[in-house]
Amino acid sequence: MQKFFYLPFLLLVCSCAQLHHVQLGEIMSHPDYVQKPFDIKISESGINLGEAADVSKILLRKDRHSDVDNLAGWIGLFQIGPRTGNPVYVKDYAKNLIHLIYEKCPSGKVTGLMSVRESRKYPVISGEIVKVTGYCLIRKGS
Amino acid sequence: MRSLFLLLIGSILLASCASINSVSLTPIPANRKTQVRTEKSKIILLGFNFDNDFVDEAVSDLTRQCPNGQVTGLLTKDENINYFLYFVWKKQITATGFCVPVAASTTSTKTKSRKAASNEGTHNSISESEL
Amino acid sequence: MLRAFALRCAFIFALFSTGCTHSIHIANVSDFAPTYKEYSKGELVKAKSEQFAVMGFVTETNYVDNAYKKLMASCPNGTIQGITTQYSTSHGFLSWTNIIEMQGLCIR
Repeated sequence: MQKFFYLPFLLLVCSCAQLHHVQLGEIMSHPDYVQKPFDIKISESGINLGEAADVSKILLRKDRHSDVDNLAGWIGLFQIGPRTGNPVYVKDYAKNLIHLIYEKCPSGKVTGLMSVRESRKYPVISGEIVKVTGYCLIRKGS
Repeated sequence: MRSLFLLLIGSILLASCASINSVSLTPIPANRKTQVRTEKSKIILLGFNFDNDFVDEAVSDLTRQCPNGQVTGLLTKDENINYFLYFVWKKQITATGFCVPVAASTTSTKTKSRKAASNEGTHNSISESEL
Repeated sequence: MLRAFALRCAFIFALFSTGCTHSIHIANVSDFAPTYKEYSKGELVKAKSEQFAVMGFVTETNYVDNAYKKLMASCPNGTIQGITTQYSTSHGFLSWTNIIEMQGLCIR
């Protein structure tokens, strides 16, 4: 019985991963160099307005449900446009990607880059993720 | 009056909405003398599409335009152009880049051993020589 | 009591969610080949281009090419390595703005 107590909590914390776009670059190997893997993950919180309205309906009286729909509809009018995953409130969260790559590989000898755009969806909120993985080429013995 | 009506109908039917699906860009070379470009598209009616083979021609087209070099600085744009009420749409791939002669894309200070490596494979050898 | 609290929470949430939203569709990083230079050996160059669309009524996507041309113009005689291309949309009232941002390291 106690197991079922945790079930709603588990449902809330489990997420679904959604892949939007992936791209691979050149992969280079050289006998004088070793490949040191690195990965960069930048995430921002996205909000699903429709789901937020549905959740608030659970907490509110039935006669207020139409108010919630109206409010969500009005807000939605100001947030029209193509979207990948849920919309976020921060504009340039993946702006410093090039700096982050150089932090991981200061020499600039980067190969096997893979750029991924994905989402981790939870109820109402989501993680809107930009991930870059690659290899830093380091000279053997250095 | 009739011509105005026909013009109105014609403009509604031909009006299009363009949107980008994806964009990618490869490193831009210093030598940008020879530009290469290809554009491939396919008209899709009511969403009935059974293959995307039209994309494959883009690579061979670019290779033809740059037979003895490396195509780099390649901007690839994948877009949708939707016509009347989204009943008809066009999938269009546009790729623009530069043809760089292999000798020019490598530095002039190549050593003999690097030259030997370049005989094995064009793409990797250029990168290796720069390391 | 709980309802009043929920109402307040909903109000605050609604207030916050009225802000402008954005969506990143694509964030790519190009290769560092053939130059493979350190950050200090180059110069960071950026280009940005936008397109305003009312309910999606736009007939071309030339803003992407404009960003590409701007990036090349900012590094006329050099190789640009590690180019990050970000395609995003800023949402608005019955309209939106498509944005292409490119930045890379210009090696001269």
